[in-house]
Amino acid sequence: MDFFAHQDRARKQTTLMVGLFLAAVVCIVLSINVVGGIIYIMAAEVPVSSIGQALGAVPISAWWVTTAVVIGIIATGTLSRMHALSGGGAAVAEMVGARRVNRGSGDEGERRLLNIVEEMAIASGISVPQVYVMDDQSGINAFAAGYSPNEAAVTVTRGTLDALNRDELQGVVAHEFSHILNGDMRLNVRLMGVIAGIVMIGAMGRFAMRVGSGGGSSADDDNDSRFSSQSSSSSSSKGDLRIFLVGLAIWLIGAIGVLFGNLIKAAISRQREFLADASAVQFTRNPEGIGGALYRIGQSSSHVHQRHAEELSHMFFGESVNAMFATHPPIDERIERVMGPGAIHLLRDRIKRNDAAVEAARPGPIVEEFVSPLFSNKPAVEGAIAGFSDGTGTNLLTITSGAMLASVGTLTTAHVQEARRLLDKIPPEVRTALGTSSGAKAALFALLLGKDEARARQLDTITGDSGRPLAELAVRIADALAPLGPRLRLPVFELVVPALSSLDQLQRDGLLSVVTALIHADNKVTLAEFVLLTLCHRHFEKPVKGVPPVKHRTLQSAGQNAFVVLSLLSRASPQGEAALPGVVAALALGTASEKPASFTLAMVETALYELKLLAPLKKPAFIKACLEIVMADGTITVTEGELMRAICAALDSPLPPILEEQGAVA
Amino acid sequence: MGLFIVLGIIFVIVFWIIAIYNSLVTLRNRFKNAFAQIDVQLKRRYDLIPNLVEVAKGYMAHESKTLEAVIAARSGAQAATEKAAANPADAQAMQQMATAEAGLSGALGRLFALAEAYPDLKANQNMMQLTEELSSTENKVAFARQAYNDSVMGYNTAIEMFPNSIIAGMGNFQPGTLLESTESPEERKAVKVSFTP
Repeated sequence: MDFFAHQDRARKQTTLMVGLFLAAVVCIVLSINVVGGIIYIMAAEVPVSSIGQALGAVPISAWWVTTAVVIGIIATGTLSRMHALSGGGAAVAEMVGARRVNRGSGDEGERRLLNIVEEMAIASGISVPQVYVMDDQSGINAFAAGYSPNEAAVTVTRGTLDALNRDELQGVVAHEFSHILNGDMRLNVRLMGVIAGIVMIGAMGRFAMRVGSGGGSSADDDNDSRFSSQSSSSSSSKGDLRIFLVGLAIWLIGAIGVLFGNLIKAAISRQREFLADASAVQFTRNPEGIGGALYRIGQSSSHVHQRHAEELSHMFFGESVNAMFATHPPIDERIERVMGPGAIHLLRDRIKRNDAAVEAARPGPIVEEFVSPLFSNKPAVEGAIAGFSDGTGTNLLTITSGAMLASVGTLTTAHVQEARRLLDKIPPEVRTALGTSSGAKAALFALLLGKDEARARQLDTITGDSGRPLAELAVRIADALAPLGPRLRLPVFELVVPALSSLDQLQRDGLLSVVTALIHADNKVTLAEFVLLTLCHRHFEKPVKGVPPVKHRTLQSAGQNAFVVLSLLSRASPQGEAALPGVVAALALGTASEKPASFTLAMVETALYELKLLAPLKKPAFIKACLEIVMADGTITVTEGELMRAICAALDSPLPPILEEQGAVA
Repeated sequence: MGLFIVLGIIFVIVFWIIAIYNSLVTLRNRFKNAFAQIDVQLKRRYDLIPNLVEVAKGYMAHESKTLEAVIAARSGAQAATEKAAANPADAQAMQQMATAEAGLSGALGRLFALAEAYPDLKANQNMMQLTEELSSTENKVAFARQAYNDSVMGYNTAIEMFPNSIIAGMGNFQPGTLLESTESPEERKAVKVSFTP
C-alpha cells in the first residue's frame, strides 16, 4: 500500500470510530431516559403492570426533558473543555512551558528547525505555524496544537533537536503538520468534551447515591430537584433507598460510558497517528525520515515530564505518558506501515552503521583500533595470506578462462575427488575438534590468528572470553592448518558452521564480538579477515524475519555502493584495475566518482548492506560484473574466490556456478 | 404544500451546487498558490547564492573558475526564470528555465564538492549557515513542486468525479497540468560527497 491508500484507510477507520462514539452517546441518552421514566413512574405513583402501559404512562414531554438535560450536560462539558484550550496553539505551547523560537536565534539546531517547519508548510500547503521548543525535556517528542491551521503552533523537545538528523526531524515535523491539517486537535477536544460531559453525569449519579444513603447535606438541592423533590418531601427511609438506587443506576451508566468513551477515543487517536504518519510520507516523500525518528524513539524514550503531558497526550508524536489506553499505536507497527515489512531490521542495521561511520570519521586513537583501512597496500594482504600459505603463492587455483567457462555447470568426479583429497589433508585432531562446539570455536579463532605480537593480543582476547584451554587449542589448530595453505580456509569454515549454528543467539552474539575483536587486534583488516567476518555475520547474526525489503529498484540507485565493491574487487585482482572502467560503463552506474584511495571496513560493509537491498532480479547483473573483474586475467585466485563468496553471501544471492564448482574443489 | 416541497428541493439543490462550485474554486486556487510558491523559492535561491560565493571567495581563491561558473549560472537561471514568469504559457521559455536551473544546480554541486577540501571553509559559521539555508531552499523548491503536483491531482480528481464533473463543465474548470520532472540527467545525479579517511 502506498501512503495515499494508508491515509484513506485511516480516514475510513476514523469515521467508523466516530460513528461508534456517537452511538455510545445515544446509548447513554437512551439509558438515562429509561432511568428518568422509572423515576417519573415512581414519583407519580402510577400503577403499571406491563411495559407498554409504563411507556404510555410517561408523557412525551418527560422524554424530551430528560434528553435535553443529558445533551445539555454533555454540551456544557464540551464547551468548558474547548474554552480551556481556546487560546490557540501558542497558548497551549506556553502552558507546557515551551519557549518561542525566532528567526534571529543563534542556535544552529533551532534555525534548522525553523527551516524545516517552513519546508513542511510549503509541502502541506498551509501557513507557517509558530515554533516552540521545550528546553527541559530530553525525550524525543513533539506536538502540534491549535484548532485551525492559522493559529497552530508546533512544539518540539530539546531531545528531538539533539538526537535526530535533518531527515528525521523533517519526518517528525511533517507528522505534526498532518495533525494540524486534518484538524485532529479539534476532533480530539470534542471527544474529550463529550467524555467530560459523561463524567459529569456519573458525578450526578454519585451525588444522588450520597443523598439516598442519607449522607447528602441538603436533599432539596436545586441541582437535583427533579429527582428528589417529590420523594424527599414525603421523606421516608424507603424513599431514600429509591434515590440511592436511581443514583447508582445513573452512576453506572456514567462510569460505563466514560470507559467506552475513553476506549473509543484512544482508538480514534491511534488511527489519527497512522494518518499523520502516512501524511508525513506524503509531505516529505521520504519514509526513512519518519521511520528513523520512530526507531530512535523506540531506542530511547518519548516521555514528557510535564504536568499537562497527559492532557495533550493525543497531540504528541510519540507516547508521552503511560496511560491505560494507548493513544499511539506500537512503534514497530508504525514503522512497518510507513516503511514496509522488515523495515525495523533495516533501520537497526542502518543506524548502527551510520553511528559506526560517524565514529570512523572522528579522529582519535580509539577509532584507529576499531576501524582501520581494509588494506592500504597490497603487501599487507599478501602477507596475511602467506601466514597460511605453503609457499606456492596465492594463485593456487589457476584455471584458464576458456577451461573455466567450459566446465560451468558440470561437476566431474575429478572435482569431487579433489575436494575429498583436500578434506583428507585436514589433520585428524582438527577434524575431531570441529565436531564439538568449543572445538569449532577454537578452529574459527585459529583461522583468524596472526603472528607474533598481534597473536599474543588475540590470545589474550580468546582467553578472556573462553578460557586458556580453548586458546591453546586454537594455537594448535592454527599450527596444524598453517602448512596446508589458504585453500583450506573456507572448507574449514564450512565445517565450523554447523557446530556453531547450534549455539543460542546470545552465545552467537558473543562469538561475533570476539571475532570482531580478533580481526581488529592488529589494527588492520586483511581481505581474508574481511571475508571471514562477512561470512560470520551471515551465518551467526540473528536471522531477519520475512523477506528483506527492497530499497533499490535499479542498480543505478545503489550506484555508489556498487562502485565501491567493484573497485575493491579490482584492487584484489591483477588485471582488475584495467577492467574496472569498462565494467562500470557497461552497468551504466552513472557514478563519476574517484576510486577510493583506501577502503574502510565500515565503508565496504555499508556498500554491501545497501546492495543487499537491491531488487532480487538486479543482483545477478551485479554478480556478473564482479565476475568479469575477477576474471579479467583469466584466473581466479583464492583471494578472489573467497571475496566473491563473501560478496554473494552478503547479498543473499546464490553463488555463480563457476564459483560453486570452485567451492567444491577448494 | 406541494409547492413548498418543490421549492425546498430546488433550494437544497441550488445550495448543493454552490457548495460544489466553491470547493472547486478552493482547490483551483490552492494549486495556483502552490505554483507561485515554486517561483518564490527559486528567487530566494538566487538571492542566497551571491552571499555564498562571497564567503567562499575568502577561502578558495584559486578556485575562482568554479566560483565564476556559479555566478554565471545564477544570472542565466535568473534571466530565464524572469522570462518564463512573464509568460508562463510559453513552453519554450519554461523549457529554457528548466535547463538553466539544472545548470545552476550542477555548478553549485561542484562548488560544494570542492568546498569539502577546505576544512576552514566548512567550519566557517557563515558558510555553515548559508549551506543550511541553501539546502533548505532547495528542499522548499522540491516540496513546492511536489505540493503543486499533489494539489493538481486533488483538483483534477475533484473535477472529474460525478456529479462535480457537470458543474466543472458548466463553470469551465480546466484540468491542471502536472509539472513533469524538469531535472536533466545532470541534476538527477545527486552530489555525492565522499570522505576519504
